[in-house]
Amino acid sequence: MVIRVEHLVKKYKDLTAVNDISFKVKKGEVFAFLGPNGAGKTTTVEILECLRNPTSGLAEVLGYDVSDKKGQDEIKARIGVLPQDFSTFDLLDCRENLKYYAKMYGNDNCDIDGLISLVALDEKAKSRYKTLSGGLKRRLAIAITLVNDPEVVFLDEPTSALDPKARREIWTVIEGLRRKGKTIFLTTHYMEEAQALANNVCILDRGEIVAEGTPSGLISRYGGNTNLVLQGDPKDIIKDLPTAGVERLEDKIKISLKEEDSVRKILGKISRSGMELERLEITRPSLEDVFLKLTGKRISDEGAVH
Amino acid sequence: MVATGHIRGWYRNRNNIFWTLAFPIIMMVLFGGIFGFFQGSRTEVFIQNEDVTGGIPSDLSVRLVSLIESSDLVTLRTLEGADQTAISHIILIPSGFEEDVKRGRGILTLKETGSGSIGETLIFILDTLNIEVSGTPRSITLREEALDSRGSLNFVEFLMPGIIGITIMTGGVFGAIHTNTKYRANHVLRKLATTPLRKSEWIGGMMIYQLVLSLIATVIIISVAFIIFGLTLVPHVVAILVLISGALAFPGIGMLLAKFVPDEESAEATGNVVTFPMMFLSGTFFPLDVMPQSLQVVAKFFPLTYLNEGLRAAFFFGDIETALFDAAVLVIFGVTLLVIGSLVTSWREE
Repeated sequence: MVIRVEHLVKKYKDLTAVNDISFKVKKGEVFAFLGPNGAGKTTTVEILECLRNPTSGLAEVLGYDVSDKKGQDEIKARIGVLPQDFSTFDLLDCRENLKYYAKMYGNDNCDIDGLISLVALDEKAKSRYKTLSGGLKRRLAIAITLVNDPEVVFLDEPTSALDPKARREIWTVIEGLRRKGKTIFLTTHYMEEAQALANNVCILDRGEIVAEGTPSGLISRYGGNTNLVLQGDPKDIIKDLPTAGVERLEDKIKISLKEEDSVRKILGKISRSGMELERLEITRPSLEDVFLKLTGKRISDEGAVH
Repeated sequence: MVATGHIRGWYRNRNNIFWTLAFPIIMMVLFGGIFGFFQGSRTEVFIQNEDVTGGIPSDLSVRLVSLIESSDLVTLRTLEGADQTAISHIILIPSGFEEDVKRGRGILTLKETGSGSIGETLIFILDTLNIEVSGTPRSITLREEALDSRGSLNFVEFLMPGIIGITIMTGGVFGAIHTNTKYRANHVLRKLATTPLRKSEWIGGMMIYQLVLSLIATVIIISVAFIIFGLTLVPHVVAILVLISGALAFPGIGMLLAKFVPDEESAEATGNVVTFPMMFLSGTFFPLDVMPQSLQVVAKFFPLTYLNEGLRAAFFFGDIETALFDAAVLVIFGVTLLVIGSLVTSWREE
């Protein structure tokens, strides 16, 4: 057990940012905190990083209590943190920036070149931070979180405001970290990010955990059925289908499937009936559907709920 | 270790180079040029004639004065009733001068601050007088003495420490504003708070960084003063101490401003509000005693006053006592503000 949180509460004057949450993070997993802006993700992470004091409850990282002064020193030496919207020294190049932070940990033997290769910045090692593109800046920032070879890496919104290509490149980097055995605590408001990376997801809304589990577990529990949408002349095949899950929408037919393998059965029926298929679409439920189901809301690209 | 990275970042920023080095130099050349020119195209020399019997100066002394006057190289003034603070050169004709010269061992004394060309002019005049009086060139010798009196600096000498003073002040105040607001906004401070680095180590590193910049600026300003104005200067070692205390004195102000003014632009505007009055009222461009009494009292509360005074004491007068006092005032002021500043700027969030 790398992180243990029990009945954690964080109150500001008239706002309860985190309201009695409990969860555990296992060694070597990618654990995602998923939720809209203002859900309490950053507050929770900053409590774990020893930046904020909890109002009540227990938070342990690597077996040390975050409220304990000695524990904080131990935690800080063994975690790596990427703060939200972090940027580093404009006029230092990649290598110099990494060296700077390595010295903060008193780590003079940091493998700077290794870190640069890890985030695929070899060609930009001598470029100043200022001149890097948004995606490359973020990759350097992730490398910076690794200068002390941490056991736990906290990445707070590591891909926010990046274009889809740069985002996927960051995912590759995070995948690489997991393979190296790092435990990763990820916060994000991107559903597909959690789905692509996380072993375990905690969905947070208004300071409370609304659901927790593996992405596929959450989807099968809350995401609803896989849908098959057909477009074309249905002829009489509809009669042979179980009526409960069939919906006619103008020229389309939407079939809600209870079990995955029924796709093959239905396709078999269609081909036997000689139906002219213009289009066929299979939509699987995603974490987005889970979130919609649990909160009645969607999250925009900027992280707001609507 | 905090400092080296910042120094590297500093010299890569053209803006920084301009404000820390070029701007003070431009200011010094401009002010020194304008005022130094009007004031000092001809050196004022004061005559102190003690070779007087019964109220009448000796013939030889009168002849000497008229020779100096006719050389047209200097403007002569009598010492009686002169503003003591404006004196940089005195020619002393001792009592019994005429008698001594007749015996072949007359001594004329030139008292001056620093070294100038007056001595050479005088030797030339004395050679003429020697031949006139005795036919031998050796009956009058010139003795040069350093004039050790407060306020006897020429304008450029007065200005140069002031320029160093305001450079250290603006560097300290704006440096601290910049590091606190910028690194707060881009979350570098938040990142540092998650590392084992102590806040005191970070502040210490910033101080070293500030001090290195101050020393570089000082060396450059002194060199420019030498190249352009021919100002030669051998500072007393205690000057280093004054510079160190100066570098300590100002970042606390910036730190407090950055704490209470949220964004970088408005914090810098506030920094100007604080530094501008200090720049003009702390004896940078003109001495304190030309100001009204009430403003002189105000100046006593400005740290820059002590930095300027301490630098002048250590640069020109070898006045260790004053320099140490000023350094102590600066250290006490600076450390107090730094302690308050670091207590109120918490890295942790509530």
